[in-house]
Amino acid sequence: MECSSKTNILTSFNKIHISAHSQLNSILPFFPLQLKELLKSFPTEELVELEEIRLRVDKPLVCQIGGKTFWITNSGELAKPFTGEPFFINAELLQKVVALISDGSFYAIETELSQGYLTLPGGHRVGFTGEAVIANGNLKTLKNLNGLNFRIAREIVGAADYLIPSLIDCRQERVLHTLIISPPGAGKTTLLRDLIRQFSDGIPGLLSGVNIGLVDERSELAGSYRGVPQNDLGYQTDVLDGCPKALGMIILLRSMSPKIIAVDELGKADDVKAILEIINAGVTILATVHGYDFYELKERPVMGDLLRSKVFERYVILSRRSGPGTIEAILDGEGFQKSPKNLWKR
Amino acid sequence: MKILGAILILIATSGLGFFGGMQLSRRVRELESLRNDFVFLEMEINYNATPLPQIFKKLKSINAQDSNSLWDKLLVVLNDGEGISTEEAWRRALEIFCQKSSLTKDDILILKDFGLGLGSTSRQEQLKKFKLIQELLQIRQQDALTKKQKNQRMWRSMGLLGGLALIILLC
Repeated sequence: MECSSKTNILTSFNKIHISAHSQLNSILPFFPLQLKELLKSFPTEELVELEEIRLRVDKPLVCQIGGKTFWITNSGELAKPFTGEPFFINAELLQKVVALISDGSFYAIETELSQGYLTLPGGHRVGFTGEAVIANGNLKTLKNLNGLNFRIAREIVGAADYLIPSLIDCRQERVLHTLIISPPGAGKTTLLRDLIRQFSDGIPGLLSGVNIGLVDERSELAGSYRGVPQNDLGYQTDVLDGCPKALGMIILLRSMSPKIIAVDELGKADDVKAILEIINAGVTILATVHGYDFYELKERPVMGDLLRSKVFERYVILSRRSGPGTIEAILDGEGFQKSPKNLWKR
Repeated sequence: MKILGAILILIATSGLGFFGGMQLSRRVRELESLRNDFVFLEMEINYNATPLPQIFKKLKSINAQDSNSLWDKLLVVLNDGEGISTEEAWRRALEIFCQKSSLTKDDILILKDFGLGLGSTSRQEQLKKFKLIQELLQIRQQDALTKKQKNQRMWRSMGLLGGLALIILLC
Protein backbone atom coordinates (compact mmCIF):
# COMPACT_ATOMS: atom_id res chain seq x y z
CA MET A 1 0.00 0.00 0.00
CA GLU A 2 1.22 3.43 -0.85
CA CYS A 3 1.73 5.53 2.21
CA SER A 4 1.65 9.09 1.07
CA SER A 5 -0.83 10.68 3.42
CA LYS A 6 1.24 10.59 6.56
CA THR A 7 -0.18 13.05 8.98
CA ASN A 8 0.34 12.80 12.66
CA ILE A 9 -2.82 13.76 14.43
CA LEU A 10 -1.07 14.12 17.74
CA THR A 11 1.43 16.59 16.31
CA SER A 12 -1.41 18.78 15.28
CA PHE A 13 -2.83 18.29 18.75
CA ASN A 14 0.08 20.26 20.14
CA LYS A 15 -1.76 23.35 19.04
CA ILE A 16 -4.67 22.27 21.15
CA HIS A 17 -4.33 23.10 24.77
CA ILE A 18 -4.12 19.95 26.80
CA SER A 19 -4.20 20.34 30.51
CA ALA A 20 -1.72 17.62 31.34
CA HIS A 21 -1.72 18.38 35.02
CA SER A 22 -5.49 18.15 35.27
CA GLN A 23 -5.28 14.72 33.62
CA LEU A 24 -2.82 13.56 36.25
CA ASN A 25 -4.66 15.28 39.07
CA SER A 26 -7.78 13.33 38.27
CA ILE A 27 -6.02 10.01 38.89
CA LEU A 28 -3.85 11.09 41.83
CA PRO A 29 -6.60 10.44 44.42
CA PHE A 30 -6.29 6.75 43.56
CA PHE A 31 -2.67 6.57 44.68
CA PRO A 32 -1.38 6.40 48.27
CA LEU A 33 0.67 9.34 49.50
CA GLN A 34 4.01 7.68 48.74
CA LEU A 35 3.16 7.12 45.07
CA LYS A 36 1.36 10.43 44.78
CA GLU A 37 4.54 12.32 45.67
CA LEU A 38 6.51 10.41 43.02
CA LEU A 39 3.95 11.07 40.30
CA LYS A 40 3.59 14.73 41.20
CA SER A 41 7.27 15.26 40.40
CA PHE A 42 6.73 14.41 36.69
CA PRO A 43 7.73 17.26 34.39
CA THR A 44 4.78 18.79 32.48
CA GLU A 45 6.21 17.97 29.05
CA GLU A 46 6.29 14.27 29.99
CA LEU A 47 2.77 14.41 31.40
CA VAL A 48 1.33 15.46 28.05
CA GLU A 49 2.33 12.12 26.57
CA LEU A 50 1.80 9.95 29.65
CA GLU A 51 -0.10 6.86 28.47
CA GLU A 52 0.17 4.25 31.21
CA ILE A 53 1.30 3.70 34.77
CA ARG A 54 1.92 0.07 35.63
CA LEU A 55 2.15 -1.41 39.10
CA ARG A 56 3.29 -5.00 39.53
CA VAL A 57 4.01 -6.68 42.87
CA ASP A 58 7.76 -6.82 43.59
CA LYS A 59 8.54 -5.14 40.28
CA PRO A 60 9.64 -1.57 39.47
CA LEU A 61 7.02 1.12 39.03
CA VAL A 62 6.78 1.61 35.28
CA CYS A 63 5.19 4.22 33.08
CA GLN A 64 4.74 4.53 29.36
CA ILE A 65 5.30 7.92 27.83
CA GLY A 66 4.97 8.52 24.11
CA GLY A 67 5.23 4.81 23.39
CA LYS A 68 8.43 4.39 25.44
CA THR A 69 8.76 2.54 28.73
CA PHE A 70 10.42 4.17 31.73
CA TRP A 71 11.15 3.14 35.28
CA ILE A 72 10.26 5.64 37.96
CA THR A 73 13.13 6.00 40.41
CA ASN A 74 12.99 6.43 44.17
CA SER A 75 13.54 10.16 43.66
CA GLY A 76 10.64 10.39 41.21
CA GLU A 77 12.74 10.68 38.07
CA LEU A 78 12.22 8.81 34.84
CA ALA A 79 14.93 6.33 33.93
CA LYS A 80 15.44 3.88 31.11
CA PRO A 81 14.78 0.27 32.19
CA PHE A 82 17.66 -1.30 34.13
CA THR A 83 19.19 2.07 34.94
CA GLY A 84 18.94 4.03 38.16
CA GLU A 85 17.27 2.87 41.36
CA PRO A 86 13.65 2.04 40.57
CA PHE A 87 10.81 2.39 43.03
CA PHE A 88 9.55 -1.11 43.79
CA ILE A 89 5.89 -1.90 44.31
CA ASN A 90 5.06 -4.28 47.15
CA ALA A 91 1.85 -6.21 47.81
CA GLU A 92 0.79 -3.87 50.62
CA LEU A 93 1.10 -0.79 48.41
CA LEU A 94 -0.84 -2.47 45.62
CA GLN A 95 -3.58 -3.35 48.11
CA LYS A 96 -3.75 0.29 49.16
CA VAL A 97 -4.23 1.36 45.56
CA VAL A 98 -6.96 -1.25 45.10
CA ALA A 99 -8.65 0.00 48.28
CA LEU A 100 -8.58 3.56 46.93
CA ILE A 101 -9.91 2.49 43.53
CA SER A 102 -12.73 0.49 45.11
CA ASP A 103 -13.59 3.13 47.69
CA GLY A 104 -12.52 0.71 50.40
CA SER A 105 -15.09 -1.79 49.15
CA PHE A 106 -13.47 -4.60 47.19
CA TYR A 107 -16.81 -6.39 46.77
CA ALA A 108 -18.15 -3.34 44.89
CA ILE A 109 -15.76 -3.90 41.98
CA GLU A 110 -16.29 -7.64 41.56
CA THR A 111 -18.23 -7.19 38.31
CA GLU A 112 -15.47 -4.99 36.95
CA LEU A 113 -12.85 -7.50 38.08
CA SER A 114 -14.66 -10.21 36.11
CA GLN A 115 -14.20 -7.99 33.04
CA GLY A 116 -10.59 -7.31 33.94
CA TYR A 117 -10.85 -3.53 34.08
CA LEU A 118 -12.60 -0.63 35.73
CA THR A 119 -13.33 2.89 34.55
CA LEU A 120 -12.46 5.75 36.88
CA PRO A 121 -13.94 9.24 36.97
CA GLY A 122 -12.42 11.15 34.07
CA GLY A 123 -12.64 8.11 31.82
CA HIS A 124 -9.28 6.63 32.87
CA ARG A 125 -9.14 2.87 33.01
CA VAL A 126 -7.47 0.44 35.35
CA GLY A 127 -6.68 -3.07 34.15
CA PHE A 128 -6.19 -5.87 36.69
CA THR A 129 -4.30 -9.14 36.84
CA GLY A 130 -4.36 -11.64 39.66
CA GLU A 131 -5.61 -15.09 40.54
CA ALA A 132 -8.65 -15.95 38.43
CA VAL A 133 -11.76 -17.38 40.10
CA ILE A 134 -13.61 -19.44 37.50
CA ALA A 135 -17.27 -20.41 37.76
CA ASN A 136 -19.14 -22.30 35.02
CA GLY A 137 -16.24 -21.76 32.66
CA ASN A 138 -16.37 -17.98 33.04
CA LEU A 139 -14.15 -15.59 34.94
CA LYS A 140 -16.17 -14.86 38.06
CA THR A 141 -13.69 -12.49 39.65
CA LEU A 142 -10.01 -11.99 40.42
CA LYS A 143 -8.39 -12.40 43.82
CA ASN A 144 -4.89 -11.80 45.13
CA LEU A 145 -4.33 -9.02 42.61
CA ASN A 146 -0.72 -8.76 41.44
CA GLY A 147 -0.78 -6.09 38.76
CA LEU A 148 -2.55 -2.88 37.84
CA ASN A 149 -2.36 -0.83 34.68
CA PHE A 150 -3.65 2.75 34.75
CA ARG A 151 -4.43 3.84 31.21
CA ILE A 152 -4.71 7.58 31.02
CA ALA A 153 -7.72 8.73 29.02
CA ARG A 154 -6.84 11.45 26.59
CA GLU A 155 -9.76 13.23 25.07
CA ILE A 156 -8.41 15.32 22.21
CA VAL A 157 -10.92 17.77 20.88
CA GLY A 158 -10.22 18.39 17.21
CA ALA A 159 -8.40 15.10 16.63
CA ALA A 160 -10.64 14.32 13.65
CA ASP A 161 -10.52 17.75 12.01
CA TYR A 162 -8.20 16.57 9.26
CA LEU A 163 -10.34 13.56 8.41
CA ILE A 164 -13.84 15.02 8.58
CA PRO A 165 -14.03 16.26 4.96
CA SER A 166 -13.05 12.81 3.69
CA LEU A 167 -15.85 11.12 5.58
CA ILE A 168 -18.80 13.25 4.49
CA ASP A 169 -20.80 13.00 1.31
CA CYS A 170 -21.44 16.71 0.78
CA ARG A 171 -24.11 16.24 -1.90
CA GLN A 172 -26.30 13.99 0.21
CA GLU A 173 -25.12 15.66 3.41
CA ARG A 174 -24.49 12.36 5.12
CA VAL A 175 -21.62 10.61 6.84
CA LEU A 176 -20.09 7.73 4.87
CA HIS A 177 -19.89 4.22 6.34
CA THR A 178 -16.40 4.35 7.82
CA LEU A 179 -14.03 1.77 9.27
CA ILE A 180 -10.91 2.89 11.12
CA ILE A 181 -8.20 0.23 10.89
CA SER A 182 -5.48 0.61 13.47
CA PRO A 183 -3.01 -1.37 15.59
CA PRO A 184 -3.37 -1.03 19.39
CA GLY A 185 -2.31 2.33 20.80
CA ALA A 186 -2.38 4.19 17.47
CA GLY A 187 -5.24 6.51 18.44
CA LYS A 188 -8.29 4.86 16.91
CA THR A 189 -10.45 5.34 20.00
CA THR A 190 -9.37 8.97 20.35
CA LEU A 191 -10.17 9.55 16.69
CA LEU A 192 -13.54 7.80 16.82
CA ARG A 193 -14.48 9.76 19.96
CA ASP A 194 -13.82 13.07 18.23
CA LEU A 195 -15.64 11.98 15.07
CA ILE A 196 -18.70 11.11 17.18
CA ARG A 197 -18.54 14.44 18.98
CA GLN A 198 -18.28 16.44 15.77
CA PHE A 199 -20.97 14.52 13.87
CA SER A 200 -23.27 14.78 16.89
CA ASP A 201 -22.83 18.53 17.34
CA GLY A 202 -22.69 19.23 13.61
CA ILE A 203 -20.02 20.83 11.46
CA PRO A 204 -20.85 24.31 10.16
CA GLY A 205 -21.20 24.32 6.37
CA LEU A 206 -20.74 20.57 6.08
CA LEU A 207 -23.16 18.65 8.20
CA SER A 208 -26.04 19.31 10.55
CA GLY A 209 -25.72 17.49 13.85
CA VAL A 210 -27.28 14.04 13.87
CA ASN A 211 -28.42 11.54 16.48
CA ILE A 212 -25.69 9.04 17.19
CA GLY A 213 -26.02 5.75 19.04
CA LEU A 214 -22.81 4.54 20.63
CA VAL A 215 -22.31 1.00 21.89
CA ASP A 216 -19.47 1.40 24.35
CA GLU A 217 -18.87 -2.21 25.33
CA ARG A 218 -15.62 -1.53 27.20
CA SER A 219 -16.49 1.97 28.45
CA GLU A 220 -13.50 3.33 26.57
CA LEU A 221 -15.12 5.86 24.27
CA ALA A 222 -17.47 7.56 26.66
CA GLY A 223 -15.42 6.65 29.73
CA SER A 224 -18.66 6.16 31.63
CA TYR A 225 -18.38 6.19 35.39
CA ARG A 226 -21.48 4.77 37.07
CA GLY A 227 -23.31 5.06 33.76
CA VAL A 228 -22.51 8.73 33.14
CA PRO A 229 -20.21 9.52 30.16
CA GLN A 230 -17.12 11.39 31.31
CA ASN A 231 -16.00 12.39 27.82
CA ASP A 232 -17.68 14.89 25.53
CA LEU A 233 -19.44 12.95 22.80
CA GLY A 234 -21.71 15.70 21.56
CA TYR A 235 -25.19 16.64 22.64
CA GLN A 236 -26.99 14.17 20.37
CA THR A 237 -25.17 11.00 21.36
CA ASP A 238 -26.87 8.16 23.22
CA VAL A 239 -24.48 5.82 24.98
CA LEU A 240 -25.21 2.18 25.69
CA ASP A 241 -22.49 1.39 28.18
CA GLY A 242 -21.04 -2.05 28.85
CA CYS A 243 -23.31 -3.79 26.35
CA PRO A 244 -22.02 -6.40 23.87
CA LYS A 245 -21.61 -4.70 20.51
CA ALA A 246 -23.87 -6.89 18.35
CA LEU A 247 -26.71 -6.77 20.85
CA GLY A 248 -26.22 -3.08 21.56
CA MET A 249 -26.26 -2.07 17.89
CA ILE A 250 -29.63 -3.77 17.35
CA ILE A 251 -31.07 -2.30 20.57
CA LEU A 252 -30.01 1.21 19.55
CA LEU A 253 -31.34 0.71 16.03
CA ARG A 254 -34.76 -0.25 17.37
CA SER A 255 -35.00 2.08 20.32
CA MET A 256 -33.20 5.35 19.62
CA SER A 257 -33.59 5.86 15.84
CA PRO A 258 -30.00 7.00 15.32
CA LYS A 259 -28.62 8.31 12.04
CA ILE A 260 -25.20 6.91 12.91
CA ILE A 261 -24.24 3.94 15.05
CA ALA A 262 -20.69 3.91 16.37
CA VAL A 263 -18.77 0.96 17.80
CA ASP A 264 -15.19 0.34 18.82
CA GLU A 265 -13.13 -2.76 18.03
CA LEU A 266 -15.23 -4.98 15.79
CA GLY A 267 -14.18 -8.59 15.44
CA LYS A 268 -16.88 -11.17 16.10
CA ALA A 269 -19.15 -12.79 13.54
CA ASP A 270 -22.17 -11.44 15.43
CA ASP A 271 -20.83 -7.89 15.03
CA VAL A 272 -20.71 -8.36 11.26
CA LYS A 273 -24.32 -9.63 11.17
CA ALA A 274 -25.46 -6.64 13.22
CA ILE A 275 -23.61 -4.23 10.92
CA LEU A 276 -25.32 -5.66 7.84
CA GLU A 277 -28.68 -5.23 9.54
CA ILE A 278 -27.85 -1.63 10.43
CA ILE A 279 -26.77 -0.77 6.92
CA ASN A 280 -29.95 -2.31 5.53
CA ALA A 281 -31.90 -0.05 7.87
CA GLY A 282 -30.25 2.99 6.29
CA VAL A 283 -28.16 3.89 9.32
CA THR A 284 -24.52 4.88 8.93
CA ILE A 285 -21.90 2.78 10.67
CA LEU A 286 -18.80 4.27 12.21
CA ALA A 287 -16.47 1.58 13.51
CA THR A 288 -12.92 0.67 14.39
CA VAL A 289 -11.03 -2.59 14.14
CA HIS A 290 -7.62 -3.85 15.19
CA GLY A 291 -5.44 -4.26 12.13
CA TYR A 292 -2.43 -3.01 10.25
CA ASP A 293 -3.74 -2.42 6.74
CA PHE A 294 -6.68 -3.02 4.44
CA TYR A 295 -5.23 -6.08 2.71
CA GLU A 296 -4.15 -7.80 5.93
CA LEU A 297 -7.68 -7.31 7.26
CA LYS A 298 -9.23 -8.59 4.06
CA GLU A 299 -7.52 -11.95 4.61
CA ARG A 300 -9.02 -12.42 8.08
CA PRO A 301 -11.93 -14.89 8.33
CA VAL A 302 -14.67 -12.69 9.79
CA MET A 303 -13.56 -9.20 8.89
CA GLY A 304 -12.53 -10.31 5.42
CA ASP A 305 -16.14 -11.23 4.62
CA LEU A 306 -17.28 -7.81 5.78
CA LEU A 307 -14.69 -6.01 3.69
CA ARG A 308 -15.48 -8.09 0.60
CA SER A 309 -19.17 -7.23 0.94
CA LYS A 310 -18.08 -3.60 0.36
CA VAL A 311 -20.38 -2.09 2.92
CA PHE A 312 -17.87 0.51 3.99
CA GLU A 313 -17.31 3.59 1.89
CA ARG A 314 -14.20 4.81 3.67
CA TYR A 315 -11.29 3.11 5.40
CA VAL A 316 -8.90 5.11 7.56
CA ILE A 317 -5.61 3.36 8.23
CA LEU A 318 -3.72 4.47 11.33
CA SER A 319 -0.31 3.54 12.67
CA ARG A 320 2.22 4.65 15.29
CA ARG A 321 4.92 5.29 12.71
CA SER A 322 5.27 8.96 13.59
CA GLY A 323 3.68 8.54 16.99
CA PRO A 324 0.10 7.64 17.90
CA GLY A 325 -2.40 8.97 15.38
CA THR A 326 -0.33 8.68 12.22
CA ILE A 327 -2.74 8.50 9.29
CA GLU A 328 -1.23 6.07 6.80
CA ALA A 329 -4.04 6.23 4.27
CA ILE A 330 -7.65 7.08 3.59
CA LEU A 331 -9.20 4.54 1.22
CA ASP A 332 -12.51 4.42 -0.61
CA GLY A 333 -14.87 1.44 -0.55
CA GLU A 334 -12.81 -0.39 -3.17
CA GLY A 335 -9.62 0.02 -1.18
CA PHE A 336 -8.15 2.77 -3.37
CA GLN A 337 -6.38 5.70 -1.86
CA LYS A 338 -8.22 8.98 -1.67
CA SER A 339 -6.80 12.42 -1.22
CA PRO A 340 -8.66 14.25 1.52
CA LYS A 341 -8.29 17.49 -0.39
CA ASN A 342 -10.00 16.11 -3.50
CA LEU A 343 -12.81 14.65 -1.48
CA TRP A 344 -13.33 17.99 0.17
CA LYS A 345 -13.82 19.67 -3.21
CA ARG A 346 -16.07 16.96 -4.62
CA MET B 1 -28.58 24.40 106.10
CA LYS B 2 -28.57 20.73 107.07
CA ILE B 3 -31.82 20.19 105.18
CA LEU B 4 -30.37 21.85 102.10
CA GLY B 5 -27.28 19.61 102.31
CA ALA B 6 -29.47 16.52 102.74
CA ILE B 7 -31.53 17.46 99.70
CA LEU B 8 -28.39 17.97 97.63
CA ILE B 9 -27.00 14.56 98.70
CA LEU B 10 -30.32 12.94 97.89
CA ILE B 11 -30.44 14.58 94.45
CA ALA B 12 -26.86 13.56 93.71
CA THR B 13 -27.20 9.91 94.72
CA SER B 14 -30.62 9.55 93.07
CA GLY B 15 -29.12 11.08 89.92
CA LEU B 16 -26.31 8.55 90.01
CA GLY B 17 -28.83 5.76 90.42
CA PHE B 18 -30.95 7.03 87.55
CA PHE B 19 -27.83 7.47 85.40
CA GLY B 20 -26.78 3.86 86.12
CA GLY B 21 -30.26 2.64 85.18
CA MET B 22 -30.33 4.83 82.11
CA GLN B 23 -27.02 3.39 80.90
CA LEU B 24 -28.62 -0.06 80.90
CA SER B 25 -31.53 1.21 78.77
CA ARG B 26 -29.17 3.07 76.45
CA ARG B 27 -27.09 -0.03 75.91
CA VAL B 28 -30.18 -1.95 74.80
CA ARG B 29 -31.17 0.87 72.43
CA GLU B 30 -27.66 1.23 71.01
CA LEU B 31 -27.33 -2.49 70.36
CA GLU B 32 -30.72 -2.59 68.68
CA SER B 33 -29.93 0.43 66.55
CA LEU B 34 -26.56 -1.02 65.53
CA ARG B 35 -28.12 -4.36 64.64
CA ASN B 36 -30.68 -2.60 62.41
CA ASP B 37 -27.88 -0.64 60.78
CA PHE B 38 -25.98 -3.84 60.04
CA VAL B 39 -29.10 -5.31 58.43
CA PHE B 40 -29.22 -2.19 56.22
CA LEU B 41 -25.52 -2.52 55.41
CA GLU B 42 -25.95 -6.18 54.51
CA MET B 43 -28.87 -5.42 52.19
CA GLU B 44 -27.03 -2.59 50.45
CA ILE B 45 -24.01 -4.81 49.84
CA ASN B 46 -26.02 -7.85 48.84
CA TYR B 47 -28.43 -6.20 46.43
CA ASN B 48 -26.64 -3.06 45.24
CA ALA B 49 -22.94 -3.71 45.94
CA THR B 50 -22.88 -0.13 47.20
CA PRO B 51 -19.41 1.02 48.32
CA LEU B 52 -19.10 1.38 52.09
CA PRO B 53 -18.63 5.18 52.27
CA GLN B 54 -21.92 5.63 50.41
CA ILE B 55 -23.72 3.30 52.82
CA PHE B 56 -22.17 5.13 55.78
CA LYS B 57 -23.58 8.40 54.40
CA LYS B 58 -27.04 6.86 54.16
CA LEU B 59 -26.76 5.50 57.69
CA LYS B 60 -25.61 8.89 58.94
CA SER B 61 -28.77 10.51 57.59
CA ILE B 62 -30.94 7.67 58.92
CA ASN B 63 -29.39 8.20 62.36
CA ALA B 64 -29.38 12.00 62.10
CA GLN B 65 -30.93 12.31 65.59
CA ASP B 66 -28.14 10.29 67.16
CA SER B 67 -25.55 12.59 68.72
CA ASN B 68 -23.00 9.77 68.96
CA SER B 69 -23.44 8.19 65.54
CA LEU B 70 -20.73 5.66 64.68
CA TRP B 71 -21.33 6.23 60.96
CA ASP B 72 -20.81 9.96 61.27
CA LYS B 73 -17.51 9.35 63.03
CA LEU B 74 -16.49 6.85 60.36
CA LEU B 75 -17.12 9.36 57.60
CA VAL B 76 -15.12 12.02 59.43
CA VAL B 77 -12.18 9.63 59.89
CA LEU B 78 -12.36 8.48 56.25
CA ASN B 79 -12.41 12.05 54.97
CA ASP B 80 -9.60 13.21 57.23
CA GLY B 81 -7.21 10.30 56.74
CA GLU B 82 -5.77 10.41 53.25
CA GLY B 83 -5.73 6.91 51.77
CA ILE B 84 -6.72 5.32 55.07
CA SER B 85 -8.11 1.78 54.83
CA THR B 86 -11.70 1.11 55.87
CA GLU B 87 -10.40 -1.30 58.50
CA GLU B 88 -8.21 1.37 60.07
CA ALA B 89 -10.98 3.96 59.82
CA TRP B 90 -13.35 1.56 61.58
CA ARG B 91 -10.85 1.05 64.41
CA ARG B 92 -10.30 4.79 64.90
CA ALA B 93 -14.00 5.67 64.66
CA LEU B 94 -14.84 2.97 67.18
CA GLU B 95 -12.32 4.43 69.64
CA ILE B 96 -14.08 7.81 69.45
CA PHE B 97 -17.53 6.23 69.50
CA CYS B 98 -16.97 4.16 72.65
CA GLN B 99 -16.00 7.28 74.67
CA LYS B 100 -19.63 8.36 74.76
CA SER B 101 -21.29 5.00 74.28
CA SER B 102 -23.12 2.85 76.83
CA LEU B 103 -21.81 -0.33 75.29
CA THR B 104 -19.69 -2.63 77.44
CA LYS B 105 -16.09 -3.67 76.70
CA ASP B 106 -17.35 -7.01 75.39
CA ASP B 107 -19.77 -5.28 73.03
CA ILE B 108 -16.98 -3.06 71.72
CA LEU B 109 -14.71 -6.09 71.28
CA ILE B 110 -17.28 -7.67 68.96
CA LEU B 111 -17.45 -4.48 66.93
CA LYS B 112 -13.65 -4.28 66.84
CA ASP B 113 -13.37 -7.81 65.47
CA PHE B 114 -15.99 -7.02 62.88
CA GLY B 115 -13.77 -4.27 61.47
CA LEU B 116 -10.99 -6.71 60.56
CA GLY B 117 -11.02 -7.12 56.79
CA LEU B 118 -13.98 -4.78 56.42
CA GLY B 119 -14.45 -3.99 52.74
CA SER B 120 -11.34 -5.82 51.63
CA THR B 121 -12.80 -9.19 50.69
CA SER B 122 -15.39 -10.58 48.28
CA ARG B 123 -19.09 -9.92 48.62
CA GLN B 124 -19.73 -13.42 49.96
CA GLU B 125 -17.09 -13.01 52.66
CA GLN B 126 -18.45 -9.59 53.61
CA LEU B 127 -21.99 -10.95 53.85
CA LYS B 128 -20.77 -13.70 56.19
CA LYS B 129 -19.29 -11.00 58.41
CA PHE B 130 -22.58 -9.12 58.48
CA LYS B 131 -24.56 -12.25 59.34
CA LEU B 132 -22.14 -13.02 62.16
CA ILE B 133 -22.19 -9.53 63.66
CA GLN B 134 -25.97 -9.45 63.56
CA GLU B 135 -26.20 -12.75 65.43
CA LEU B 136 -23.59 -11.68 67.96
CA LEU B 137 -25.33 -8.35 68.52
CA GLN B 138 -28.64 -10.14 69.02
CA ILE B 139 -27.07 -12.24 71.76
CA ARG B 140 -25.59 -9.10 73.34
CA GLN B 141 -28.93 -7.34 73.03
CA GLN B 142 -30.67 -10.20 74.82
CA ASP B 143 -28.05 -10.00 77.55
CA ALA B 144 -28.49 -6.23 77.81
CA LEU B 145 -32.26 -6.61 78.04
CA THR B 146 -31.98 -9.19 80.83
CA LYS B 147 -29.55 -6.97 82.73
CA LYS B 148 -31.80 -3.97 82.24
CA GLN B 149 -34.87 -5.78 83.58
CA LYS B 150 -32.88 -7.19 86.45
CA ASN B 151 -30.80 -4.20 87.48
CA GLN B 152 -32.47 -0.99 86.35
CA ARG B 153 -34.90 -0.77 89.28
CA MET B 154 -32.11 -1.81 91.63
CA TRP B 155 -29.88 1.05 90.41
CA ARG B 156 -32.62 3.60 90.89
CA SER B 157 -33.55 2.30 94.34
CA MET B 158 -29.89 2.08 95.31
CA GLY B 159 -29.38 5.70 94.37
CA LEU B 160 -32.29 6.88 96.49
CA LEU B 161 -31.68 4.54 99.40
CA GLY B 162 -27.92 5.11 99.34
CA GLY B 163 -28.56 8.85 99.56
CA LEU B 164 -30.91 8.40 102.50
CA ALA B 165 -28.39 6.15 104.25
CA LEU B 166 -25.64 8.72 103.74
CA ILE B 167 -27.84 11.49 105.16
CA ILE B 168 -28.65 9.36 108.22
CA LEU B 169 -24.98 8.56 108.75
CA LEU B 170 -23.94 12.19 108.45
CA CYS B 171 -26.66 13.36 110.79
